[in-house]
Amino acid sequence: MTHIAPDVTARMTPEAAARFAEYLAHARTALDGCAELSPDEVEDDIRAHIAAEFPAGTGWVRLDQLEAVLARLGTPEQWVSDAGRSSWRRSVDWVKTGPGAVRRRVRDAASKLRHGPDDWRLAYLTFGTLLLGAIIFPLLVVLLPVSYILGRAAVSLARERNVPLGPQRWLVYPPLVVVSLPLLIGLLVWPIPIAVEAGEDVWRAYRGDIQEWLGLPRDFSEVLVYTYFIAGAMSLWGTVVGLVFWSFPRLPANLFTPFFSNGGRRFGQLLALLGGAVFTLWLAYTLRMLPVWEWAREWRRQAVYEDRVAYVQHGPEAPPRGVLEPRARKVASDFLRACRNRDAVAANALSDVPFYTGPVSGTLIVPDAEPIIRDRAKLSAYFDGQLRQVQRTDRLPAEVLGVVSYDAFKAGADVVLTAALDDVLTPSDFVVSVGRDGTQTGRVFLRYRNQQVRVVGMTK
Amino acid sequence: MATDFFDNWQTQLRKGTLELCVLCALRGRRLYGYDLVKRLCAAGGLGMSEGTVYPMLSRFKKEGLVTSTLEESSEGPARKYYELTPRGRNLLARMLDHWQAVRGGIDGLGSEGWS
Repeated sequence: MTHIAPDVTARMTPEAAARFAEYLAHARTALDGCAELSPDEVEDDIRAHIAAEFPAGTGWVRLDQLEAVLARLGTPEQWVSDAGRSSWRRSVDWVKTGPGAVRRRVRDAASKLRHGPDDWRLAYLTFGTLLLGAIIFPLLVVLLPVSYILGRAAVSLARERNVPLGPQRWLVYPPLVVVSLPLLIGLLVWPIPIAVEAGEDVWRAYRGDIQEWLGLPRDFSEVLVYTYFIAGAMSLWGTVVGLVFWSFPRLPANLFTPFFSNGGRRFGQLLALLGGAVFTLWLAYTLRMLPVWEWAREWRRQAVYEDRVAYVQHGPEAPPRGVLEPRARKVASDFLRACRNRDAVAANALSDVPFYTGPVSGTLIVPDAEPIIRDRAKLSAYFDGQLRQVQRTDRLPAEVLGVVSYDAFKAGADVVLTAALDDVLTPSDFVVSVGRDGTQTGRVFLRYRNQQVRVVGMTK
Repeated sequence: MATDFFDNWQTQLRKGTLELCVLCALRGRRLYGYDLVKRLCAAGGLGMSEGTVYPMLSRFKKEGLVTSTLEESSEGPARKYYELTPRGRNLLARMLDHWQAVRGGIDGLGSEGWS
């Protein structure tokens, strides 16, 4: 750097020149990081000042003369206010103040701990406990709750004395945040896993229908289903939490200190109104677009049926027909849904051997293929092969139209057919008529055995 | 204890008024740095270290309150003269008004106490 100030160091003794160079370096260090001024300019001014103090013709500048001038100039740290220095510079200066200053600060802190005021001691204790737990990690299980309780006590004490926590909050809040934040998040988001589970059930049961209805790629449709259920659950829960916070504004502050220090009424209002609005829209859309009432009726029927089964299972005899018939309808309905979803595993799980595959099973290539499959592995392969061939699931039967006993069915049925079915069904088993849009397109045969109703055949 | 408090208060007061003093010293005239420092130090009660003025002048310059010009001197090397800009003059006028208001307020409080 070129200085516009005259170079007075040429007239200084070596000691004085060295001291002046040291002083300027010191000044530059102090001024570095002060964005609001130019260190170069200040250095020039200092040089000019020294030059003015020792005009040309006054002989050599000795160290003692220079020291007197420098003493009047003062230490460079005095020139710059704290506010004018950058934070990193202040940190460096703080460290550079030397061990003496550190000792003094430690002494002050220890003195505060020994002599109070009491609220500071509690704050130190709160943070100290947490710190100890973090250092000796296994102890955190015990020390975190202790630290949390101490922190709550510190907050309560400050509230009781009607004084702000001030800088103490940096010591008191960490354990409170560590405990309260997960609790708060947990309270707000716990319905998500339940919503995801519900969404998964619906997706697995109706994925074919849903994809067809949405007309979107499979993955995107699945994400939409989950999102839809999460939105419904979260908005409902948000409304509930919001109303509670709204009604009891001190509750969130007490539960989730230090959050909601100004009360939870505003947050509650916001949550309740937003959640209420979203849930209303969600519910209106759901009732309008989805057969909710039909599902509700089915669930009710299922619930009644489960009650009956629970009752019957304790008895020695088979369930009465009134119990088994709805159960046969349900199994047939689930079987059709599995077929529409091309879910061979589910279809196989709902079936049993021997299984009647239809009146004409033999083909040109496999002329000896039997109409009855007696092996579980073959049945599984059969479903797998059949469902692979399905091109359009919208042509598969989707409704259960009626249920009759095999005995009643047999009275008016083709002899060839019943000859084969006799091997599979007993007179009290079920023949379920299935179809689409109210038109029958086939039959599913179900058998009751070992307290289970299973599909044991099907035909067009 | 009272001495510590007074010293602290005095330091704060000096810090708060020093900028006003520097701007006042430049009111209506141009001064080179060394001359300005000596005039300020000669004024009683400020009790500042001489070096404090230079960073302040640099800051004023950056903020557009003063300008500096380098001029040859018959007595030696070139000198850097500082003078107020219109913005600096405007700010000084406002600061002086405020200073008068503060001073008047304090005087008023004092006279109430005496009566």
